[in-house]
Amino acid sequence: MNALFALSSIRHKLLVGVLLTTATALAILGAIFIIYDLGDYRDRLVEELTTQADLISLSSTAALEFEDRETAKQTLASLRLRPEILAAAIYDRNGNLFARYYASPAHIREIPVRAEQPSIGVDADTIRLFRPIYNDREIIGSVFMLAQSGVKERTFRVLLIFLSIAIVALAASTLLSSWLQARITSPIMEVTELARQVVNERNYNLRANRTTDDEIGFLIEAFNQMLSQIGLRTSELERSNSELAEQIHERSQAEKALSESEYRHRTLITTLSALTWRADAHGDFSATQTAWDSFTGQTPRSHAGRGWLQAVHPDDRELVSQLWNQACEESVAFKQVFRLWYAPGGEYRYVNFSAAPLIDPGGQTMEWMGIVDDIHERMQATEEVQRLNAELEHRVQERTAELENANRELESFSYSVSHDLRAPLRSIDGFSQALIEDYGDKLDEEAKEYLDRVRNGAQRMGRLIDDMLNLSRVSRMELVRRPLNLSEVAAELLNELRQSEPQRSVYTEIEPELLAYGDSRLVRVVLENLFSNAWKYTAKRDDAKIRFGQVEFEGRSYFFVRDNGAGFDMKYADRLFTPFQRLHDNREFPGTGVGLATVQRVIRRHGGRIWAESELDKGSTFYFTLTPSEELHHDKTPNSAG
Amino acid sequence: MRAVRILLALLILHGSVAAANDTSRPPLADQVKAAFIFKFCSYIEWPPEIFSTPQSPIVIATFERDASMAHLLTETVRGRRVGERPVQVRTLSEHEVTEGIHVLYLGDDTRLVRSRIESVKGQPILIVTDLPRGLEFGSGINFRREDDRIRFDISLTAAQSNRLKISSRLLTVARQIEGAEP
Amino acid sequence: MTRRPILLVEDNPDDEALALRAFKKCNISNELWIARDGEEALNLLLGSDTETSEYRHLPAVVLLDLNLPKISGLEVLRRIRNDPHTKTLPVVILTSSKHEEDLIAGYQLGANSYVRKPVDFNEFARAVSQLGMYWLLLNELPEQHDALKSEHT
Repeated sequence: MNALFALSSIRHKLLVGVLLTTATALAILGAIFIIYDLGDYRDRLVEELTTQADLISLSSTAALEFEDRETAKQTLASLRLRPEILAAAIYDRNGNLFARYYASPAHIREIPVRAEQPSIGVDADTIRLFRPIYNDREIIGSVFMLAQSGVKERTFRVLLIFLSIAIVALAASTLLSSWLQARITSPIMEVTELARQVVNERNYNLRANRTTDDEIGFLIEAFNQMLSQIGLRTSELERSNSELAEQIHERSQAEKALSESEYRHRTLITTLSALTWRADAHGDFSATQTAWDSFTGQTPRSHAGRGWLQAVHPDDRELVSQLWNQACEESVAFKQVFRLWYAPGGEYRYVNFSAAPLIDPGGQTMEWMGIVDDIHERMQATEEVQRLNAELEHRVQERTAELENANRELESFSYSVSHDLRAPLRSIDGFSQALIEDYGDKLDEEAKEYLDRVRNGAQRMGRLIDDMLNLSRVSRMELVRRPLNLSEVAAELLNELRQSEPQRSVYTEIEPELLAYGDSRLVRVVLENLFSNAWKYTAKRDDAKIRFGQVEFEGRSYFFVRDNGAGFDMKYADRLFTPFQRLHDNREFPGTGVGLATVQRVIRRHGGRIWAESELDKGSTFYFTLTPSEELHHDKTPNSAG
Repeated sequence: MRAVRILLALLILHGSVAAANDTSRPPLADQVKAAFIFKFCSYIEWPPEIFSTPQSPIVIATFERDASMAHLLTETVRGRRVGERPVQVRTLSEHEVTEGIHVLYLGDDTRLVRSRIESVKGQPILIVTDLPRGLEFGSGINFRREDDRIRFDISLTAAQSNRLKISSRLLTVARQIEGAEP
Repeated sequence: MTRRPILLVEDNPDDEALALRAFKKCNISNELWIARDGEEALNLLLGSDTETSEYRHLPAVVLLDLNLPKISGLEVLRRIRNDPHTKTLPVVILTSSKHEEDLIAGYQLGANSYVRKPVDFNEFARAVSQLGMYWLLLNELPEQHDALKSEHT
């Protein structure tokens, strides 16, 4: 048994325990069962035989009373039907054998010659009984019976049944215990394995899974808590170790830094232009302040206590005093710019006065240390800059006002130009016409031609005025940018041109969905000019073509208007956008020379650029954008690029 | 107890009737017959209405000419009971009415048997006779002698006509049974 | 073609002469009323101390210059539109100004057309012809205008 339990595993112990328990229970149960069963069997046997004997008795009473042996014998003979009954006999009231029966001659000797006392005896093989025979409460004889008991066979059979049950039960309990293992031992095994792992790896972050709510679950929980406690302790220990190491490192760093700092300070102080001073915990100057005294001309007596404030400019003194008291009370760093008496120069100079409290570990101010930095020149420079800025601002405002005024004047001027300069032109033209019409018969051809020239001149001037007004308007008008579909505008304009000269056949091509962002009226002016130019300069061609589209240059996209008209010499390209500059004979292609100037102005106002490429008699292409470009500022000018 | 002793004596003597033929004493056969008559009472069931109480006695009657039998019967039944009922023996004169009796021993007088059986016919009385082919006269039980032993025949017809029930156990020891179901 | 007169509000005698010439050239023979400043025009249309029975009925159309002495053309237009009597009177602005502000203001005040006087007389004559064709021949005035007119006469 000890050897069995020594198998160390709980699994074995459990198995053996379950089997032992089952076996013990079965043994007790079996014993009780067998004893009970045999007792019961015996009782039934006795009862059965007694009943049989009583039956015999009852049937034999008359035979006994009337001394009829034959009848009694016949009665006994009926027992032949019961093979388990080995022998039987009836005795008269005197105990003499009256009649007998035996299953086989072997049993004759079993039949006593004389009646015995009433009794019942059961042994392993036989049951034997004597019973009195009554008739009407009177004993008239007795009956003897001997039968097979079958106790031996019965015992054997019951044992057999019980053993089969025991085998089945033990098998079942083996199965049960293996199931229990899964429920009980596997969590324990898990914890055991985990414990082994924790010991080997020193990893306290491992945790066992709690799968049940019973004692094992509690055990696992407790184990986990223990682990986390150990883990916590260990990590605390490690942290405090590393902190310790860090502190040691910091301390050595600090020592090194301190010695470096000391060195730096020594060097700094000796080279510093600013003067240093010291004050006690209350902010009062202590005895020697050599640098201070040599700056302010004070003496140790005059600067003592708050005497140093006397060197501050009277206008600043009260504020400085107040702020200094406050700083001393609160023990916080102090910084203030004020004017301090400079004795060598005999003037007040701006200084930056800064101070810091030296605080002991207990939080008490030990003393104050401070620096006085002469910033007089810097302050003066700053003031000058501010003054200049203000002046500049003022000038800009003046200029702006002037400019607005000029704009207004220009506007009223252009208004009167448009209105008043055109009226006389109308008169000149109108009345020249009237002359030709009313007095044509009195004028010779030459006079009529002169009048035509007068009219042409007037009309040309009218157009010039219009164009000039347009140009100035384009420059002044407020820019309102909106998303535009240039393709639509172009289609509209070309349609108008076509209607103005229906006899011309011009092939036009417009790329769809050319989108831009600009002022709709001004952009319309641009396209109006470019298309009417293209229309005009292709007048002499039968296969006139005008194209409006978009191309990419250097990652930027440009709109273009291309025609196959007269074109121009590229050497005059830089004069193209100058007002009143024309590259063509007015008689050949009439114009004022203001259109392209207006176009360029509109495009520049949008921040875009325009240039043209052309070849004489081959046509021209005008490229333009309406959006500002970063490269515009450092790029070549648009014209020279072309 | 005395009766027991007599009975014991009877039984001891049983089997050697001839040898014990003592004239001073009634013949052994009659003693056996008296004992049988008494014992019959245990196996007969009378209609219950003829007894007023469970303790009402069973009356066995003989005629004067069978006085010896009457005497033997009186000896036999003395102090004995059938169930709870005591047993009385009455001797009737020749022409006395047979009233209040349950067993009537008519012996072997053919004339008597004839007349009396006729007179008690239908009454719940067990008629016991002792003459050859006695049952033919209408008696319920008739003694007969067989191998020196006293045996008897039973007539179920007669018993039924007299409203008597005879125990089947008694039938097992009867030599002949008249009127039995086949 | 309606025989009702045309009111020309024009301070420049040259332009007046040219306008008359243009009308004639276009065979517009309606009576022509001339107002040489804004005040005169308003008197003619809305009535005043100097009102005469001659002017009790309204012209078919008003040709209005903007740059006028005393009361500006735009102001004249505003008053015409504010008076229920003349509210629906057709007014065509006929001016040298190409100022967008003037154009917008003119339409906002309820001008029916805005025509810029061209330098070229032939163009001017064409414009006048078209105006006459439209306002004297084709344009239908609402019933209300006729009702007001007949009530007034």
